[in-house]
Amino acid sequence: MHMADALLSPVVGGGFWVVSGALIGYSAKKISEERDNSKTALMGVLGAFVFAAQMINFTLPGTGSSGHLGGGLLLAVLLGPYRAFITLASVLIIQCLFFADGGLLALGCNVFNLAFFPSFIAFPFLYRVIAGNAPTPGKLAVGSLTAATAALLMGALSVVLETLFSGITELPFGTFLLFMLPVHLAIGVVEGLVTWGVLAFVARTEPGLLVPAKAAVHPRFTFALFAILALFVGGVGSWFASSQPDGLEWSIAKVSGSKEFSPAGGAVHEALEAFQQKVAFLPDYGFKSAPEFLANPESPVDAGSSLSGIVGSLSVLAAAGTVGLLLGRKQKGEKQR
Amino acid sequence: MIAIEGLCFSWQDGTKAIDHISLAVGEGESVGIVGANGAGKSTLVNHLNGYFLPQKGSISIGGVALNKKNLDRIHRMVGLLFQNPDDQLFTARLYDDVAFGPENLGMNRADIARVVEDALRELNLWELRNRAPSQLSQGQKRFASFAAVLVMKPEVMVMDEPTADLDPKNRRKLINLVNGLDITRITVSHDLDFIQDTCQRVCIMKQGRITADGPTEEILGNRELLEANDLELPLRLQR
Amino acid sequence: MYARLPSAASLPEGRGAPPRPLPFLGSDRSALLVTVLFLFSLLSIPKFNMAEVLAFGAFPLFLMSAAQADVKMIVKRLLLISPFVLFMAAGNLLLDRNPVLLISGLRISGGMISGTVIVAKTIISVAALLSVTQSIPFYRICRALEALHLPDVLVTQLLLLDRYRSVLQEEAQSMQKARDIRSFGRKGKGLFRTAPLIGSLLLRTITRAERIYRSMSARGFQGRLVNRPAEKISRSDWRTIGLWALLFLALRLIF
Repeated sequence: MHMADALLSPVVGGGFWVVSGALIGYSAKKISEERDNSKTALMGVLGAFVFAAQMINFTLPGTGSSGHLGGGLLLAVLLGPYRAFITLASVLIIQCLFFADGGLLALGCNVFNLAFFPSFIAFPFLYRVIAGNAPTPGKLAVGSLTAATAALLMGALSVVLETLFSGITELPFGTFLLFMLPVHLAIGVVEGLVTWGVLAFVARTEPGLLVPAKAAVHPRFTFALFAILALFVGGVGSWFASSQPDGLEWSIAKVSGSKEFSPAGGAVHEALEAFQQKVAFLPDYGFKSAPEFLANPESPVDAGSSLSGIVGSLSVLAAAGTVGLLLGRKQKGEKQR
Repeated sequence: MIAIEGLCFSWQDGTKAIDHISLAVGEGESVGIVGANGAGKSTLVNHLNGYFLPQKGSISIGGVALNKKNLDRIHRMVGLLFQNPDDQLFTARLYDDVAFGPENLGMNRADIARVVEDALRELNLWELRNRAPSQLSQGQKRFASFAAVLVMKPEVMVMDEPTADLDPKNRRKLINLVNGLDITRITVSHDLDFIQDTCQRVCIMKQGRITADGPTEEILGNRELLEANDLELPLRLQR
Repeated sequence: MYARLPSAASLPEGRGAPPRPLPFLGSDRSALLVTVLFLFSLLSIPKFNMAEVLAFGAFPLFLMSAAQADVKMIVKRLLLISPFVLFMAAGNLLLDRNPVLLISGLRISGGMISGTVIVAKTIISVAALLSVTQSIPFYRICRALEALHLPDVLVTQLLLLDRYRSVLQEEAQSMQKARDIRSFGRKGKGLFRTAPLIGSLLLRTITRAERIYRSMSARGFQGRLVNRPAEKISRSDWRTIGLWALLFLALRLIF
């Protein structure tokens, strides 16, 4: 579920860097205000725990395929929203820098998709509400399952929207969603079950450890959050009403029997295209290619210059590699002297 | 140097970990604390650096009473070597780990650089200063954690199972290192041979109490006394 | 004061050779910023422009050869290319079948090009990132991030996480081994059998955290692991970043 750089446009990647950066800054501020250094070591090792726990595989009941713990909801239960968010963000940063699991420019998106939803939405508004402070086994199970599944689904939706906003993929919204949601529903159920299992174990053996972490998120923050989400959903709705007639038209046809959709979105689409063209380095040929061959002047792929372009780039590659090797040898030589 | 009077400590579930312990350690003395598992040794030494505060009784170190107010002063005076060096070395680079204590002591940058280099060179770790602790071998980590504690120039050194995980050669090196230290020392260890080689005085603990306290040769040579306290003679005396 | 010990070199060798320096990228901070600029430029390339993407491959190629990076490790990482990326590339391949090029009788569709561009961008971005991060020790990456105004809380978190990642992974491996040698077929490895195992690891982790915190407070921990102030960004850093930015811009314009 980690986003790769190649699937994002610079605008979307950069935009989410700003959003996630703001969330990190805000969480860091809230943590510093608590002046509780005793949790610092705990956050660090729990981050390491996530890596370690992800190495432990188990077989899934009834299927024989294997799964592993994600850890987002578990961290939120143990640390509270702000510390869990920072811990999860740190896990994602390490995964990105050391293992290229998720791109560097996609880091903002990944932090949003994988850390924000479990910490700030699923935990306080689902798990906490259902399971409360001293949950019975039943409430623990329902709370874990609901929250974990919701977090995964929200993350999946977010991935779909980010990819579509970037304009790299040809997948229509509906199809993409239809693929992503069931898969992530399954992953979410597994995550919920494992989280429940682990929490139940801890509750049995060391109940004192599940002392309620501060679940409260500042009210102003919550309001801002929902306002942004509302604008986001609304904006997305109008955007897709115009540019992705396939998925939405299909849904509308199914629901209302009518194939019509709002024509008002056309202007929005044009405006967004114009904006994107201004912001991009060079105009982006985002539309589909024309169904003609070589000589078509409307084709975004200029065949004539494409081939010479490829030759040119290969030369650049060869030059770069050679210079690099020579430099590397020179440095080695200097060191040995 | 260290004065413990009537110390009592119980866990939350009521189990008594320390049951009326009184102990006086003079300046420069080296004392070994031995006992079976669960005797309360680690709980006792964790009082000495202020992790636990006395529930009953009192502790004073270098004339400073152990209480919440004096914790900083106690931390400056007492160095605690953890059983597991991985718990002690927690930064990304050996140099930073050794510098951590002096930085928090508020020393100026030039002094920090000097003491850190001195400590690392003395322990022959200078070449490894840029390595991450996870890249060090167990022996190197043990000596690194020594450096990290000794660089703060404590007046009392408390060691909890210092030879656990060490191979014979490194163990011998540690014995030489410890014997070269000119400070008050408290050592908790199951390694009775190590205690015999490094401590002048031994206290035996059993079920939270001190059951014997005397010169090392006397205590560790007394088979009946040791067996009564769920211990055995040191290996070298078992022939 | 201390007994003389033989040189550390005679002690059993720890892991990890010192990393090679990165040529022409300036300080650690400017190296990271240049990488970010590179990625932005790479991602801004239109989705049908394969030639330009290939040209940008020059940057990681240059880095890998000049820094003598661990190419084997990078290639291994590349082979594990995210299934999600491959799925998206395949999606483009299948959905955009409009032919746009004819090369010696072979019809190349728009989807083939855009799909290949996705994979190529992934390979190049991963290679570039790993070449840089493998060449700078992690404690220096954290110092650079701190200098780039990442919050203290997060920098401390990264340092601690990295420090204990291998320790806990070893513990997890050992626990999993202990489970496996007493499991037969699929019995013993199910979700509900394994959850307590993960729970035990969690409890051990929390106890370890307490010990570490004790160790930190014993040495006066006040919230930061490294208390030396980070260096300010220098003129030569700006020059380095500016030059690379011009180079990337030039590549974008030429192709």
